[in-house]
Amino acid sequence: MTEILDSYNNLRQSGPISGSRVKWLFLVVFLYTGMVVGLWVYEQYFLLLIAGLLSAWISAFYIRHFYNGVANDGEDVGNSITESVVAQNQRYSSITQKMNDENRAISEEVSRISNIISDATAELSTSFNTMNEQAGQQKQLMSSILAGSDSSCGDDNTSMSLDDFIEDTSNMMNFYIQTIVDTSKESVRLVYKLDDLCERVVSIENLLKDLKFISDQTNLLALNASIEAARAGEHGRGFAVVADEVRNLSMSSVDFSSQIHNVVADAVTGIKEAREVIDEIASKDLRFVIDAKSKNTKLSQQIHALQKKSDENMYKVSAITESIDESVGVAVRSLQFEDIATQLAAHVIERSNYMEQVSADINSALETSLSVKDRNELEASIKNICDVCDSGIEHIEGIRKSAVSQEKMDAGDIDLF
Amino acid sequence: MGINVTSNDESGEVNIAISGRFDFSMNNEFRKILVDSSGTDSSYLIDMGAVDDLDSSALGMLLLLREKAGGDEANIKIRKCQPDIIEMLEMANFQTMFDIS
Repeated sequence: MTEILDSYNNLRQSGPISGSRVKWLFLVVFLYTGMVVGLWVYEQYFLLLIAGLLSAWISAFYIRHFYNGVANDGEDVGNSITESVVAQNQRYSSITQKMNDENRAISEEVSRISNIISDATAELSTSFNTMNEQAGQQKQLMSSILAGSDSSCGDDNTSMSLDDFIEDTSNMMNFYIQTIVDTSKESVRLVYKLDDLCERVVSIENLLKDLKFISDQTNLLALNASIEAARAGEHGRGFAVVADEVRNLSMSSVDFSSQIHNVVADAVTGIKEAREVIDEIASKDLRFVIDAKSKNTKLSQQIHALQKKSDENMYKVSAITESIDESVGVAVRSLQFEDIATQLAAHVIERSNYMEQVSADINSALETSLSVKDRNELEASIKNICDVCDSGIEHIEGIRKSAVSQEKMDAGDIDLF
Repeated sequence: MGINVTSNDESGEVNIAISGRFDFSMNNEFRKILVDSSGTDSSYLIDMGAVDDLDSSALGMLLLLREKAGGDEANIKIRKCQPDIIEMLEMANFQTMFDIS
């Protein structure tokens, strides 16, 4: 518009009706009038006639020039304004086209954002649901482990817990110790009984001594009897035989005695060997067992401590699993933002489409204005452009009003699935 | 190495001092104590200060003495035990049957 005004002002400055030119005109007319009056006063009627003709011709010339100029200027101004408007509309047309392109680009990018959000939330949703399931499984496993560590873990009726096992081991060790000590006690008692037995057996030796004395005496008596028998001669012959037999008997008695002596000696040796065996049975080193028992106690303590620690950790893990559950729940709920986001995106695209429509209309109106030939066509096309703009404004106002009802997303308003 | 038996005529308590390794080799001397025991009338003080080792036969002998001296009514004190001796006696549960310190 300023272009048009500028060119109009230029014409005014340089045209025949400019201010400075008017001044010159008045001066010339004044002088001319003076000259005509002078001629008439001096009755130079021929010169006056020529001056009159001259002035008529000059006036005619000037008036025609002036009229043409004005007409031309008018036409120039008209043409110049038309050109400027056309140039302006060209600019508008190209700008609206550029804005249209940008609009389309915005629309496409918003659409892409919307798609990305949709895809991402779908994946996140799946992922969180999987996490939820796995957290649930974890929790179940925890429960079963915790239950298992308290009581029995086994399939048959004779199953027992770790505690029972440790107690059983401890009891077994005590039983073993008792057995050893009792065995030792009875072994010593046995040894004492063997000692008594040994004494008894050895006392046979004394009896053997007596037996020896008797057989010696018997031998002596038999000898005496033989002598007496010899003294008695023929009458003593029977007696001599008897005496000999008695002597033989006492000899075999000595023989038996020595055999008994050997048996006793063997018995004593046997008893002594038995004593040695019992010595070994009775003499058990207890230090080994003490070590084993104290190790068992330590092991038991360690196992208890471990178990306690393990239980504590299990409970902790259980609690953590619960909170994972909750966190996942929160995450799933917050994915609902996707709904609002995609709705908003759709709205943006809709508005963008409206704008595209409006600017397309304006553009086509502007296009027609580029081919105007004269002032009437220009007026018509400018009116057309104004109409299109007005309806476009109305349209956009209409969209604005419906968009105001879209509120910001608030977690409290979202329904939980 | 051996057993030294003295008896206190006033209190009637028999004092048994054992030294060295208390094991099966002492069974003969120990028998004398058993033979001389007058059952529940006897009270015993066993001095283990010089004992440096025990084995199961020693424990067996002590149990025999307890049996002879009246079983649950026996009055037997065991004194001056070294820590590892006490450990062994406790492992065999002797603290419930004897007066140990």
